Amino acid sequence: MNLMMLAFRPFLDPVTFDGPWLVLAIPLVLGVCVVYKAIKLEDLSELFHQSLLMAAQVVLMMTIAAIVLWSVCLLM
Amino acid sequence: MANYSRQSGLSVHFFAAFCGWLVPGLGHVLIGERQRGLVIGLTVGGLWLGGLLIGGVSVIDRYGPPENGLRRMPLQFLGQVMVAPSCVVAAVNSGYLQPTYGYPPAVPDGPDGSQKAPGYSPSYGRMNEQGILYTSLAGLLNLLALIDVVYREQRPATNVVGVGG
Repeated sequence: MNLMMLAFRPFLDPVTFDGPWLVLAIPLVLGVCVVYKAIKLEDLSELFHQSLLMAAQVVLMMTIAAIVLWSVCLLM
Repeated sequence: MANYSRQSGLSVHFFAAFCGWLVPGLGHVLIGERQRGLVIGLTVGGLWLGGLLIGGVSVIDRYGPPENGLRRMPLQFLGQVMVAPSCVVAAVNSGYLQPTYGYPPAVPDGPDGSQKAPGYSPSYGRMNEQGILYTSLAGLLNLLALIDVVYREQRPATNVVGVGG
């Protein structure tokens, strides 16, 4: 942690994130799934499990799609 | 979605939807779906605040980067304004907060020679993209919630806004 982080102003300055930026997609997918299930489900007691399941499916399918498209680019 | 009921009163639902635009989740609370409204409000609000935290307030920009000398409203702004506080942020950005460039940020002197606090730092690259993505999706999810508020049947036993009218 360097001293320049002390100058960080939340919401006024962008966050400096040097890690894999794709990790930021996971909370986004979770949020979308939670809101979608909160609207669709009549019984909210299953919201947690249904949201996690849907988020896992979305991430899995996005990963598969990325692998397939990457393979197509390699073959071309 | 739940069955549409004409007896609930469209005006009540549209008022609740307007409140849901002002504060995410409030629309569902007003029609009696308190738990649903709380979940939606926290999630949409969390995504919106997360986008602002990641990219800074510069991700909500009514005018995009100039192209051929012209500045047009970017498409993502249409998604961002589905959450009312985005309009406030855009108005403040365009009028009162000025971006700072360079590092360390300069502290310009005020007209009376006093030190003025610098404005915001614009974001670029991935952080800007992620911030825009978070805030735009928060707005689109809020739009989905607003549509659900309009068509969802009210719960007469627990609603906050009166049935009918």
